[in-house]
Amino acid sequence: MSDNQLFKPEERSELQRVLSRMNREQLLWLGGYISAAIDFAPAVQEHYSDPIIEPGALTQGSEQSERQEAPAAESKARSLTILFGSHSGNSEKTARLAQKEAERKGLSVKVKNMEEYNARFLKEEEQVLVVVSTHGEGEPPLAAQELHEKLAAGRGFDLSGLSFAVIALGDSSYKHFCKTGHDFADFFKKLGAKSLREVAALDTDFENELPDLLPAVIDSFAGAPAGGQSPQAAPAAGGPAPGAAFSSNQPVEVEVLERIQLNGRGSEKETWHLELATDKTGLVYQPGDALEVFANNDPRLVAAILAQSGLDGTQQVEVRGKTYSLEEALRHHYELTVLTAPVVRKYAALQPESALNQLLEDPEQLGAFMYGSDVLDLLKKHPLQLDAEQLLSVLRYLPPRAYSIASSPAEVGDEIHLTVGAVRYQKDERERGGVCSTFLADRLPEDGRLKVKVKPNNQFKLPANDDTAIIMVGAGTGIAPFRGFLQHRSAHGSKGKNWLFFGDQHFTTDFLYQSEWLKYRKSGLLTRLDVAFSRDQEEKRYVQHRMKRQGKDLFKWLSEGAHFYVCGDMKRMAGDVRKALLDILQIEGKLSREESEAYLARLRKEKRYQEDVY
Amino acid sequence: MTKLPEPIKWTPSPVEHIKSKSNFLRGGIVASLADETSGAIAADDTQLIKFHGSYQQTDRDLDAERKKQKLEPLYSFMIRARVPAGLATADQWLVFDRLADKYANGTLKLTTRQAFQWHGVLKRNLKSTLQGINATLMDTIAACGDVNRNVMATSNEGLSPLVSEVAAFAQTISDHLLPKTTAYHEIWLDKKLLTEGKVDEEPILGKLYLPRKFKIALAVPPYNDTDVFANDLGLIAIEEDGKLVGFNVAIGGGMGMTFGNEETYPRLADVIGYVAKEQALQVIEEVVKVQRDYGNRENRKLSRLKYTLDRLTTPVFKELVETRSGIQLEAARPYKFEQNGDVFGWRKSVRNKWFLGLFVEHGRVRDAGNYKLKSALRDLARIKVCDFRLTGNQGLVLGQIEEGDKLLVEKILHKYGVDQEDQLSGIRKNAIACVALNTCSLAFAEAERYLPTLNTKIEAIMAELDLTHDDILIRMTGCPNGCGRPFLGEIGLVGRSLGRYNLYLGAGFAGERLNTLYKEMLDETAILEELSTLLSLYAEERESGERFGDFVVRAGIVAPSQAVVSY
Repeated sequence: MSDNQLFKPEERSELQRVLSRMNREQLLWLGGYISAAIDFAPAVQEHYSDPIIEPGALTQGSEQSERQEAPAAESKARSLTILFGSHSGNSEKTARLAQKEAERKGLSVKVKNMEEYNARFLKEEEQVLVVVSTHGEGEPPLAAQELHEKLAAGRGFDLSGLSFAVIALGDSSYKHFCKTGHDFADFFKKLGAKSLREVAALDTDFENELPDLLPAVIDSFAGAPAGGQSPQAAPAAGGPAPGAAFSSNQPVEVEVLERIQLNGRGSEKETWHLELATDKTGLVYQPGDALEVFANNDPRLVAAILAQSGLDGTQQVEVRGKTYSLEEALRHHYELTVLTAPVVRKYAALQPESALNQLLEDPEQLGAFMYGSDVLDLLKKHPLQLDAEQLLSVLRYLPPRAYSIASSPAEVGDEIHLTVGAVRYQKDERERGGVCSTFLADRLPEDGRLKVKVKPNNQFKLPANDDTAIIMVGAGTGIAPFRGFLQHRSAHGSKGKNWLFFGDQHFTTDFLYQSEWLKYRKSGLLTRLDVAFSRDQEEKRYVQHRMKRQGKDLFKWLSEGAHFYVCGDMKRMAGDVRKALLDILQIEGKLSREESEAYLARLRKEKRYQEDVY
Repeated sequence: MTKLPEPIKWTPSPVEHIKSKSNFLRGGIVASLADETSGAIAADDTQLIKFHGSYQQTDRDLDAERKKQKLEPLYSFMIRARVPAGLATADQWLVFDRLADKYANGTLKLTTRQAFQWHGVLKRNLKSTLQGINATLMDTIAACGDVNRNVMATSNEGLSPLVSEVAAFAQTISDHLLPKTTAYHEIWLDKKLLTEGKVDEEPILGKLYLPRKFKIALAVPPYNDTDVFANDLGLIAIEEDGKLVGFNVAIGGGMGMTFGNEETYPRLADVIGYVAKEQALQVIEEVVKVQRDYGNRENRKLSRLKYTLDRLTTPVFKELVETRSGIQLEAARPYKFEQNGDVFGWRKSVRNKWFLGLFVEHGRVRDAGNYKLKSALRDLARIKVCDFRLTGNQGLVLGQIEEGDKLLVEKILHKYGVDQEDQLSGIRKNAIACVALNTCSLAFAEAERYLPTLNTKIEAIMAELDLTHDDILIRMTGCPNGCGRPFLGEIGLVGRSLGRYNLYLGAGFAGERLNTLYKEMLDETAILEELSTLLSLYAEERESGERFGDFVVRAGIVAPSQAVVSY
């Protein structure tokens, strides 16, 4: 079949006109774009046989003539597919930066969201870079779940023609640090694929690592010149360097306008409502996004660490090219309240005789040792004479903490509201607390200013259509984004029905934002409000119980197109909510187990089931 | 005979509307209870639930704080059990004690109307609490609301041979005037009493119930511990040869008033005659019905019988009762009241049982420090050596004690630090305070939480004047509504705003003369200064046996206020 039969003459000339104006990079990008589009295009039996781009088209129109010398323009560029599985967007960002790096090096790159990627295409791929985060206790992010499951099952996949590398994102304060990335590497290997390099496991301070890591990773793929940049790969003048995408999202300072303890007297919980002024900061957010807050460590903890290590807090040290006193450095720049395996490992390496080294062999014991422990515990239990530089070399940078935003700009204007649960506990007769939640609760700077940055979450957004009904299930501080959702819908006069499920410990003290929900229910904005308080009666009662009690109506809403949102504690809630939903689908929808799971999977695909769990 | 007036056609007040459409007090209570998202019930239902024996309240200490916290007020419910003549068994006491711990704030309040109150019961526990009370064969129906409230009667049988019969009659009156609606059983006890196609009826109270609360008390002279003259209907027991023969009937008493509203005032009842005990119930029913038909249903501040009485005049009201009942009242028989306070200590009844009058500060049964009243009473109830009789002064009488158990009772009280009788000053023993803050929505100022402290300071003054053991009636309320019958205090302190009180002086010692406003808006310093001056005068200038209330009137410090009149 001739292309003449595929395209009308005017389409053909239009295409040629557009393409002839493009430089090589643009064409490479378009190649990836088109091949991605093919995956989703309706099946076509015939393929065009002639190239659309007539020989000479590039040279004729292009003023950037240096590009025409690129070898890739003549011999076919090696292909690389970058698969990202993102929850908060960090994997996606990293994938995009990797794409730039790979394109710069002459690879033909496709970037795919795992959520929209059909596993069957894997055996067609030549080279794959997986960029995936790990969630909570070693779970894949929602977007990666399906692919993860299929590869784990592994049936019918022969990936012997595939080479791959993995960039894993995670938080080393969790036990199963970067597990999902390792999972993918294991799956690929098992299915016959060739591993090009060790899994690159990135911690919360991953942004610092990317400028070095990305070129190294890309260079491991065939078709990219290994060992330094090729002339072609030199960044275009003024082009962004890897990591530059983050520079547009530098932290800004905001003022704390209001801080209220939401729990009534006698509560076992401590939840803070914060209102931050964002005027003149340029911060932009949407309901569902998160806010990263840069906290400082408790000076008492810093003092105890200095005392324990016998170091002088006033001595000057260098952190990321700047000079601080050691005390300042510890307070502002290093993670002290949680212990991570890399920290223990680095510390153990300084004392080969220490029992710590045995501990590192045994993941169970190591996990137990690190659970609820901080840097002071490490120094106390395994004392070592070390200097300031050594100490800092062991520690990881203090990552910001992200909180789901509890407001909508449509309602609150230049403000961001947060709902923060204070983490406090006692271990070994010492009071401890989460670095950021106690910072917000106890140690706000006197000028009331905070360093923050918006962390967009495209996986948790209101339906595009204001008339669409939504069901929101939130427990504890998981209520936060729903306050934003309802504020948004209130301000926009949205007609869609809204149903909120909320759960916490005690009705009288822990019904976060109660008076606002009651007001919304009275005004009609909140169509339904169901609550569960776990400790007000003998049997524990949770949101999933309330969902099941309303199963019939809930199913009806879903059948009529409602979107379903869950926010809250992953371990204790998200799974139970999901199970309850499956039960409801089976009971009320008369579906089999498999059908109910397929139903849920479809909701996910359609973005009608969204989770923001932590 | 002049033509008797016809009832007025009132423009119904909002509450009348709520009652009218409530289907015999059901309203939306069931739905309100089912709503788990609020600790409150619907506004209309807050009116109706009173008839079921409960008030919705908030913890006013926390209102502002919780508003800031984006929480609704801390709603809870006060539950009042109707206890005619204040008589409770040991088994009932045990259950009430347990309910206080399980669902309420851990204390029991013995009220000025001989009722039990639980405070701080959350909505979700209301039904369980009411079921618990009902399981003891006591209930809360009509403990509040526009109905006949708890019928009071002197309960200490050690005081007079008439007490047991009078108390039994209180029970009869209570039963007779009880609402007949089956709503209570439906809502709280899950019992459907109405058969298909039947509707409720209220032959005495009517579909709209009474215009306002209606209070009845019986007293056995010379003890006026129920303050009969402060009631819509007071019955004074008349004896012949040690036997009850009938009652003097007094109508139109009531404490409540509203500051700034000249049309409202406290009033003592007028004695309108005597009725033999056999005909008393009929007369009582008719008084209720006249008030039902003639009472103001437009302005609830003017709905009590006392205003109906003053509008119609006492002779007309009396004639209405006589004509409608067909019973002519005889001339009032002679009687004499000597005191309206409680009698403390051991008394022996004619049936050779012992009765112990016990001081309970402001009726609050609780354990506090070494004074573990609640534990003591729980132990006594467990071994069942006595019954429990509430007095009209927030006090308690341990009753029906065998001679041989007296020592045991004393030992148990001693064990829990409750044997304080002789150490109590005359002012503390005779003090009454209403609940007020933090739960009563009407209160402008503290009462129960504050009067004990104030009394300590007054005791210091009295000790210097050597008046420690002189009985003086002091009564404090958080508002002028009158739950603590403040206008019958020789010293009456009525809350105006936080920390400030109006000082009233000069009530009679037996509840037969109201007090008079002396000074307004006094803070503690001013109260103590005034009392210091007045008590010094009293200590120096009183005549032998002269009461403080009588003294301030005789000395011209205040003009005498309304006293009981006989028609």
